[in-house]
Amino acid sequence: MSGNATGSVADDGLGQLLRRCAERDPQALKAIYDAMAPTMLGVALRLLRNRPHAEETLQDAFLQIWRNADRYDQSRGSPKAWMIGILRYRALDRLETERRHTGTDELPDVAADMPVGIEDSRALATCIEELPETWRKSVMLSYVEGYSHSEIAERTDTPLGTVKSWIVRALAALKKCMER
Amino acid sequence: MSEILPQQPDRAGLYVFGLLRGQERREFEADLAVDPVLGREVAAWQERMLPLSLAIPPVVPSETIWPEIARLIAPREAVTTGPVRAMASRRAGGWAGWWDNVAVWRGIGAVAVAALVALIVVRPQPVSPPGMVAVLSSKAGPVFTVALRSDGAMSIAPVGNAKPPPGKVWQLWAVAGGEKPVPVGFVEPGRTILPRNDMPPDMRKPQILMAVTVEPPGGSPTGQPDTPIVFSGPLLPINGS
Repeated sequence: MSGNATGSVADDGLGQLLRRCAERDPQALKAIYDAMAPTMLGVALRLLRNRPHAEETLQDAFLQIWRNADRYDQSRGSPKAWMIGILRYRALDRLETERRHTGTDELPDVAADMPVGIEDSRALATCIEELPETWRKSVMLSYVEGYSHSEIAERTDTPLGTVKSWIVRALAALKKCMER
Repeated sequence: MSEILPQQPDRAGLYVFGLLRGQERREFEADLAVDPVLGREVAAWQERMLPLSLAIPPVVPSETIWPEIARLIAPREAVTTGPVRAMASRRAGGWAGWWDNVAVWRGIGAVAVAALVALIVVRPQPVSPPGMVAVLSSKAGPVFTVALRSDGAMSIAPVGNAKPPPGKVWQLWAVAGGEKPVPVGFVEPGRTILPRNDMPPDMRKPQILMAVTVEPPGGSPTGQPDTPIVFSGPLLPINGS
């Protein structure tokens, strides 16, 4: 009965499951886990580049989803965005405390070329596409790879102030583009 | 078109992108806790960027992850005996040792109760009174008071002017007997307002211990306290019921 985890139905399903979590139904959390854990682990691994850390972060995120399920407010966004948000902030906490080691870059920086490949992302994909290359790269390096301003400056061999300004302008452009 | 430089950086956007770090992030989260407009902006950015997260290749978690989550969310009676203890010691000699020393925590708690009684008498009632209060005390006496309102908003006020050691931060934990401490946020030397989401709903009740440890900036890297408690105190209902 809880096996349906595809398409836009999944969002409604997840909202329902979150309500059941708020009523302390562990089966509901399990169903959410089955539907979302691989996606969430993918995101965490991409940010942290360390499997044990990513899995611990995933676990922490699910505990937080369980505890805060009653605070999910559907008027503010989809269950997926809410849950991935929780995961991302946990992962970013970790990134902040653990200073990326040079040796842990197991994954190449492919973010800048990463296709945004899912059905309802045409707006985002198009808007990212429209950004000047340097802005787009900064956006991807920060959002997908979790790099800080200074890490991006270092990696792109660009003054920090310039990187900051790229990002500020890229965010404004993205927001404007997606609102139109 | 792109000539026009935005006047203000989009803090909600920078936050969602993970570009606010350290103090900047904590300040933003404090604002976020009290500003519904910021909350909506953050949610909008999360939604806007969701397709990019979903486009990252998924990775199937190890089979041990779910059973551990299931154990951690199981009703308290079921976990207070074996499993939690076993799991605690599994964390490479970390916090298991001092956590086991519950007597110390209780002792600190008792001091705090006395301090709390003193403070409630002395302090004028705020306009909208908090549901629960904790006095966080060290051996030397009360250091902070914590007020937890019924809507989950939480504010922390210093009693003196203590500061964390240079280069370190104070991290706040909520601890229910027999369970792993839950990170709640950071305590600034001055007045702190914590994001509403940070205090788990099932921890918002009397006798939950609020404890502070000294951690590196950004908080304990393990997600669990690795250092001894520097001050703490239990949450107590202000109306005595």
